[in-house]
Amino acid sequence: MKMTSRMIALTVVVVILGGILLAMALGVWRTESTKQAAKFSSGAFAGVSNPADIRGSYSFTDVERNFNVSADILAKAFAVDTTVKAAGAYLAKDLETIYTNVADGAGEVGTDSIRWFVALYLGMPYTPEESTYLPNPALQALRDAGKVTDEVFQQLKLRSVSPSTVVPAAAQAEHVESSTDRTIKGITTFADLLTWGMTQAEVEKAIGGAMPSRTIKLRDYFVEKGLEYSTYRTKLQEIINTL
Amino acid sequence: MNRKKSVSQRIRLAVQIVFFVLVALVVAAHSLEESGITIPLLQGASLHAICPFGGVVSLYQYITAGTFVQKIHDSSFWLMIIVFVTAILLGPVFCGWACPFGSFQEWIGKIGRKIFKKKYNRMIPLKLDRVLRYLRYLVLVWVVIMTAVSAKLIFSDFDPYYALFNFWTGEVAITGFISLGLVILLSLFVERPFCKYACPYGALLGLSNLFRIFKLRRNSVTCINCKACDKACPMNITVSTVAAVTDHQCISCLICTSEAACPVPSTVEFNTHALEQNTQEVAK
Repeated sequence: MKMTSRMIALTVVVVILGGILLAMALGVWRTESTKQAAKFSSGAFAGVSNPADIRGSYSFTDVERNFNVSADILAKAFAVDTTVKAAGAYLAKDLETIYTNVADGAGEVGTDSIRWFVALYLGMPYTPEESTYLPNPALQALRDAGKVTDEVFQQLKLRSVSPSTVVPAAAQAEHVESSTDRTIKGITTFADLLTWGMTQAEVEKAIGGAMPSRTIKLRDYFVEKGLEYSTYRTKLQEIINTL
Repeated sequence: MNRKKSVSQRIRLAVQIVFFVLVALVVAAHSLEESGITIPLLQGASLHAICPFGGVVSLYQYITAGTFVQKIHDSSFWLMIIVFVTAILLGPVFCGWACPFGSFQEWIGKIGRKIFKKKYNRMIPLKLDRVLRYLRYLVLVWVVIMTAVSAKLIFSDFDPYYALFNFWTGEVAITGFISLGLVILLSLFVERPFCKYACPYGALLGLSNLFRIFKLRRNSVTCINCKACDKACPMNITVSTVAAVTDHQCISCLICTSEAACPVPSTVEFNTHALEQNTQEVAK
């Protein structure tokens, strides 16, 4: 039997495109993850969802559904700005953009950080990549929830970074710098205060109201409120110095 | 190549354009969807999701863990099966007719052909070329093993095809851009350089030339030994001395056949049986 160019063209188009259409019709053509994490196949956690299978396309809601770690905990741990979008709407891979170069080239905060955090939170085995870091609030969340011992907490601090929130890259660089000497400056944000160990309740008590978005600089906040920035700076600095 | 003969290549060009545009649209729609913009009647998908090679590199993980490698989905698996069906029938017809990156190299090559004319695609010393042709099998083995070990799409950082269709997304590694630049440059001197020397999927599909049902056959009785088929072959395969082409580099493009380069009717064509049988039957 001979095959001409017309027959080959027809075969290629019909078999490839027809095959795709058939797969679509049968409901087996999926171009996105089902967001159903694979389960441990053996060991103590056999049959339980494996954090190692969290993909970059997973939203915090997907993580919550698979692992029962709430989107709010994740949002707090990774210091994402929930005034920009809802906690559950953040994708794991968003962290890579939010934390670009935050670890000063030493590592990165991204999807693997979510896997690591979830595994630590649930007490499951997981070995993160060498370049993976966790933001400080994630460590705090783990300790507050009693998920890690002090010893583990100290080890984790070696691979932690200050949270970088949804701000321009230039501002992020300032942000990281400002969080190293724990001195309140004009560029210090509310996220820095949390990083340095203050709780949200302590901040709100000190400023006498609800804490705004974490990305907002202290100076901008007090100026906008018509309050004297230097007074509050001193007050907050005193609290920071005691931590 | 007379008018009648050029028709077959126009048909192939049309099919190539259809697949190139389709892939570009699907990938662009996917990017727009991530930005919250949807295109009516067009479902976006990542390039990984519509790449049949993704199914191949996921096989190990699918068999051992029941899951796909990251960024690979059911669609890649179905495409892998569909393309294997076409390969069993016609060999690597996917490479010659549907692969958008193969088409892209071919189109860049037309510029090179205009510049270098007859020297085009004949610049690499034969001995070196023969050795380099097997390089793509090393790439295939490396990609399959590394993907199995890491459960990640190792090749995407070096994949010029991914770089071409995602250059605006910010997701392409610098190595991907370097690969793409290199392939574009080489395409000006060599026909389909990536297909010949580096494509791991082409390497795998190339094996189907050994057992495809429709083989590219030459009728030794009617052949006038003009070597037009050899000169026309983009993959530099010697067609004029064999009864059936089993070279792993054949991409089933039909350029060498009696529908295009070969001046004698029914002398080089895709057929299930030896062409000499037809001649003998006519003689009787």
